[in-house]
Amino acid sequence: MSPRIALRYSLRELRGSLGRVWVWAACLSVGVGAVVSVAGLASSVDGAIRGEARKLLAADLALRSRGPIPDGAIEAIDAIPGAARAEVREMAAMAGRASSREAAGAGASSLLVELKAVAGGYPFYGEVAAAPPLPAGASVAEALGDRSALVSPEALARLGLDVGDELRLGRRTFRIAGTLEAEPDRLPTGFAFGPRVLLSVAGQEAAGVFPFGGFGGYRTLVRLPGESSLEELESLAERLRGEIGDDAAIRIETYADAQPGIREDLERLSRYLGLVALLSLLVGGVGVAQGIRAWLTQRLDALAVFKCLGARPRDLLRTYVVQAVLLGLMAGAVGGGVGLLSMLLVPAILGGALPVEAVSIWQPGAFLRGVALGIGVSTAFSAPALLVVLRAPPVRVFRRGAEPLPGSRFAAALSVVAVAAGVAGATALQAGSLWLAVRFVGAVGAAVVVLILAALALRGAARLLAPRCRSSWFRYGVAALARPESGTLAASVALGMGLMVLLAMLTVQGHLHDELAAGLPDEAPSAFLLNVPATGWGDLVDLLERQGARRVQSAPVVMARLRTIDGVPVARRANERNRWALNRQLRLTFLDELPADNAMLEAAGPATVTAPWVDPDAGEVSVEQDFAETIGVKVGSTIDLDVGGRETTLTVTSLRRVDWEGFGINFFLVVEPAALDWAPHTRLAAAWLPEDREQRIQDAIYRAHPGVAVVRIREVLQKVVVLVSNLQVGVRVLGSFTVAAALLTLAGAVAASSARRGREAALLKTIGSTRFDVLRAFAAEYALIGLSSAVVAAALGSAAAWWLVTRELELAWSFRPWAVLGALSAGSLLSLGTGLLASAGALRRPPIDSLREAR
Amino acid sequence: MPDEARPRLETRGLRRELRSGERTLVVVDDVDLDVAAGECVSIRGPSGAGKSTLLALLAGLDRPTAGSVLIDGQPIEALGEDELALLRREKIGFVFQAFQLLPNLTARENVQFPLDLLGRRRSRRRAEELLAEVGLRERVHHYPSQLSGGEQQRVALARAFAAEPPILLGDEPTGNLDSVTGAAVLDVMMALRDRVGSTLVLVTHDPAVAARADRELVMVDGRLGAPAP
Repeated sequence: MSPRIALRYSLRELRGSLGRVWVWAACLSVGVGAVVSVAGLASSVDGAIRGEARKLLAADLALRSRGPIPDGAIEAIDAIPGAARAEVREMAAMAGRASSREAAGAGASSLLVELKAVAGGYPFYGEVAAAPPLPAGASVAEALGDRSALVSPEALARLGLDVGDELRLGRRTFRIAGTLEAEPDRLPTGFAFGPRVLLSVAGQEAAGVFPFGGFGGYRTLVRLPGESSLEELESLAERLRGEIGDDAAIRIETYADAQPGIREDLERLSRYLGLVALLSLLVGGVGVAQGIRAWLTQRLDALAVFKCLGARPRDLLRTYVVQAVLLGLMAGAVGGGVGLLSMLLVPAILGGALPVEAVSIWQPGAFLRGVALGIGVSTAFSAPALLVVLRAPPVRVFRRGAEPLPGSRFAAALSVVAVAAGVAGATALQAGSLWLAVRFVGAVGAAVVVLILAALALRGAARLLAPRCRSSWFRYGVAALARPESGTLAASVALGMGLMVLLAMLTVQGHLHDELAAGLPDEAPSAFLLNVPATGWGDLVDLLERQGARRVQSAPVVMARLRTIDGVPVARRANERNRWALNRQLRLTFLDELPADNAMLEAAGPATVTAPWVDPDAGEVSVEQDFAETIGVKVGSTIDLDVGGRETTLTVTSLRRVDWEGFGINFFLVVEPAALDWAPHTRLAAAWLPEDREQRIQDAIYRAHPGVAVVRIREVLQKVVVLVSNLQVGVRVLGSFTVAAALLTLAGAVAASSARRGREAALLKTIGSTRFDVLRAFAAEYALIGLSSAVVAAALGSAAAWWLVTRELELAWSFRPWAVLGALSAGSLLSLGTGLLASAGALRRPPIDSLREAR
Repeated sequence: MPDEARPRLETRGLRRELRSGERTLVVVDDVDLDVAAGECVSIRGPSGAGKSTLLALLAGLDRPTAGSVLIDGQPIEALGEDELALLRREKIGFVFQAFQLLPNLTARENVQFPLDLLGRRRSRRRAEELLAEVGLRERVHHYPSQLSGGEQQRVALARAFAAEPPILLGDEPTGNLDSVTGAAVLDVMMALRDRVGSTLVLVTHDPAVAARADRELVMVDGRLGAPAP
């Protein structure tokens, strides 16, 4: 049979079974839709980020560092002919109302803000949006001068200020020139320590606030004359890296690297969500497998006629494979279209969690991925069912009870391989990583095996229990489960799978949400104070204690860079794994005793946590064990540090373990005070503040020490809770797709057995059952299918959730009876409703029709 | 080319046993049959005599327990499913008591199918011509469920003769039809057979139908013989 003829008869066959085909297509298209919307959204966001790449960098090239960009680097840039340079500094700082408004009593009087200071031609690409707009023709820095600032609406609202009012920052007061609506080089990711404030570098320096330890940093932006290709930029970046030397604390980025962090997060998120979406597609595939098998079994007569007329088994196989492909294509196109359209709802669902304001639904890549997965899953999952075609006996045209032709082991094995290859291929495509794909397939496979065993056990139990049921309709419903050809095995597996996924997701989310919403453990500090001047610490402690703060702790912070380890320059030790540790600006501290929550692992001599310094002749340092491993030091190693330009040599005399989750103040490197107390330093402090007095205490600190930044953990946690809640809605929607696909599978299974159920209903009515009795018998069967699937799903879903919660998220596990009860009742009710809906036709038909057909 | 001297269709010691629970039934018992090219043979007998099983064996739809079937001198036992399908495609047409039209295909498409399998060009035109020949010009786009029994059997006849097969096997072709319709259908079948020149093996229990054959045979309890005089 030529491909053209195969296609012709495939279409004619599909045309004759359109009702069923739509059910299968619906089973698959739910999953395709989920896959396409996840892929489309990821690609849309990624596309938006890449499309706006120059704007997101606001430059062609940028040098980024936690500390000031060194002169050498600036000179290297200035040596590029025609290059323009701009500067950006970002930092956390406290902003407040100027004194004239303090009496007004509206809003807080102090607020932690994210401050951005700009100089030169910033931004080279894109625009700073302000209301009222900044005057045209001047750069942002020129327009703001050193006495005005743009302030985000949130900061204005919280401080009770308006445009035109004055805002205090550090030791200077600024006029609020307008609201800051958008910055080109900042994505609205929905998370920031505080509201944004923009001013000029001149203003920032006059205010006396600077980036410090780990918050914010420095950027030098470069614009090159004319249009530079990405290759030119990359080679220029490479040249600059050479000229600036090994000072790898400076990162040189081209616009192609725009927002690497967000893009990596996005990719990771889209992979995991893509796998969740794939689950609904696989569940739909189970529905198709079962549906096609049931359908072909009913088509044995037609298959026999085809064979009788001279169609070879391979001709028929070709026709039905083409039908599976067409089915996948249909499901892919419908699901893909719906998936793309559903992206329009995403901004409403995810709110601020989306890093772009608008999504573009023109995502041909995502659509094609959906269609490809639809076709792949449809074809692979129908392979076992197509064995029916090979075994259909042509002699049925004469003898209806004819035995099937002997099966070929090779064909059976091939069909199993086809399913496995389909699942593996689809997973590999979605996971983007072989290891993740292997684990996913393993977990899904194990769950499917358990669900199949459970369904078989249910069948066995039904066989045993049916004769003992007293009520006749209930007995009939239970007996229906025991029947080998009931056709609902696959539906039970699919439903179990769907409920399992949804329950696991809801349970994990519940734990995550509760953990975040529960707030702080009692012993944890509720605020961190950054940038505390070394000389003002005593006053600040008094102030805190007067205001009711408890468990005040602090440590000096010295900024330093590693120069050599055991005499070898760090640049020669750097590799992919340790570069982050070797090249960063390190925050270290000097203390007489190690923090109490540290544990001594290894020490030279009798060093302990309370008496760590044992060698009177050497400058000593105690190193956190993982960090020590990363940078390659042991007890006895020597470390050369650059502290404010001065070289300091230290000997490692102990290794410690740190409990990072304890919210205490901890450092990778703790130095003996005698070796470092000369160094310029600030202090980092932590304290527990009474919740109702947090703002008042912050205001008091601000009045006394405007340079001290107060990071309130409760506030940060609340922001995370909002962000996580937004994401949860999306994940829940995705999880419920799996259940939807499972219900369609059940509907398909019931519809496929509609003729048989019609005959049953007719027989029952003929022997005197009322329509209500038949309805009850069917209802008992569907509810039991749902309940049994839900029981297994509850066990598997809880186990999966337990593993994720305790192992991956490392949270405490709490059993959630309501979630389990919810799954059980949802499983039974949904199964009941879907089953009855799908058998409505069979129930309505007059008995005589069904009986006549059965002759 | 078939050897003109050889029968078109032969069976030698053909036997078919079927298992029914613990018992073994001999459905076709040591049947030797020669049918010459162009000959029309009828096989009459009561229900359960093994007539339909004999037809299934002749067409290679069923496998004999012993003995062999030769078509144009070629034994078909050794052929695989694919080769048997090709053999039927090229050489054998069928007409069944229950019509056996493909329910998802229209009348025209049913007739077109054997032509498409053979890769014949203009199969659609040809199918429409054949339906016109059996008097169904106006019914080409109807599905089997929209046709009367007589109409369905005419479609089946058009389909059976579409590829002009050298052999046509008929299993009670009028069995499901009233006598008037049955007679009309039989006339159409005989007319087609005269035009195409097929060898015809006709299973029936209607003596009137059987009498229209060149040679009448009787089958009782699986054994084939001449009718009692």
